[in-house]
Amino acid sequence: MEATAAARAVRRVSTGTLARAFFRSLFLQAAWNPRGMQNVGFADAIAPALEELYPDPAERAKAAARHLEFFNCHPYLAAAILGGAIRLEERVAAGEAPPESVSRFKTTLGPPFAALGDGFFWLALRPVAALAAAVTEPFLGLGCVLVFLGLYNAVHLPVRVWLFATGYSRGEGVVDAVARAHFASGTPLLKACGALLAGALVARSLLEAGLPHRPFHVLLVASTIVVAYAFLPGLGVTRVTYIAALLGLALGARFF
Amino acid sequence: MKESAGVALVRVDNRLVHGQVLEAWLPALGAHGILVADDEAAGNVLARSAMALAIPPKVSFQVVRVDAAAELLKPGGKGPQAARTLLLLRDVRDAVALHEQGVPMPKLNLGNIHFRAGRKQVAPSVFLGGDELAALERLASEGTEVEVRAVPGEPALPLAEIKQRFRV
Repeated sequence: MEATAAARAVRRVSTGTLARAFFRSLFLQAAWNPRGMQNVGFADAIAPALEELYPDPAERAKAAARHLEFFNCHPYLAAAILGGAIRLEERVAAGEAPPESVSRFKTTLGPPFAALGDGFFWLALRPVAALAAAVTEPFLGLGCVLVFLGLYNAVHLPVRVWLFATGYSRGEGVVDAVARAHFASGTPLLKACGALLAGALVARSLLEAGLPHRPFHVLLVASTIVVAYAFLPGLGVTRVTYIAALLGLALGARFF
Repeated sequence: MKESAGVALVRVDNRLVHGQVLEAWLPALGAHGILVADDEAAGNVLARSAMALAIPPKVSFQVVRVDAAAELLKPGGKGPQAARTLLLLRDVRDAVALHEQGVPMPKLNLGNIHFRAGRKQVAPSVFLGGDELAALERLASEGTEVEVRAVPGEPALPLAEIKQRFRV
């Protein structure tokens, strides 16, 4: 029964405070600086929780100071670390864990979570959402911007809430939870979708450029890609495609 | 000086495994392995499992203590798992330790070294202390080419330039 007694002694922050901390985490990078990077943003986000956990101003100042140490992560994945840090602060405030455990948790998880976030959000989800929106442009016109915002936020906001909640409820166990979410293996799949969409978009653009009065331009651009790649393999596919696309654009703009 | 067998680049990066390393350096080097030589990470299960999370499939990944890394990478040692491996170190002193234990180091890349009291900024992401700069100069005098470069696409900042910026 002793364990339950100890667990009861840990003071939990209220749901309202958690919500405020999460809301503040949306501004994590607002005071980004080269020396501490996201430190000010993190300290600001966790401030409501510290206020509740440390009624004594001196103790609270000490806690705030440890969150002004260097911190950097992906701004979305940082939600998991913020949730976990609040859970750890509860234990520190109850005297169950040493204060260094919070700093160690943050510095340990920051960089690897940043890598996951960079790969998944910046290099996969964002281009895919943008490309998907671009594909709908002929049907929706400017409305395609809403497609982008809808697709992107439909994934990004729930994921951020989930990360924060999981971080808070699982503490260090958040690593296992994130591992089971398969970010790292989902990323290549999403990137492949992006490549497919980019291909569709280029094909459509080329067809569009070739019609209605210049039917040969498509053929010219397409054959430039094939011929240049066949005779100058050193150029590489990417460069050849760019050269052909520039040629297509120049023709489309009637430069010659 | 020949590089240690299997090591594509030695990089000092306080953040060890993170986005710049995985998304920029691995493809640029054509590397398919990462070896982290760090005492703290080697002794910390949470750090190891969190780093392993971010490693893409098909990239081999090892975390060992600095001494163990020296044993692997010394001439005649077993070498890293992958034939082209990126070696990540947390601090300049780890590079010095490896070099002193006989690991060949033709090139040393400084990626991210965060601010700490006593360190001065020499590049957007690199802060160095006077002792660290002296250690780098010693490495350079023994044939290591030292550069500051966060990502492969940006120009390398040579040691001469780093020294100049440090004195300002």
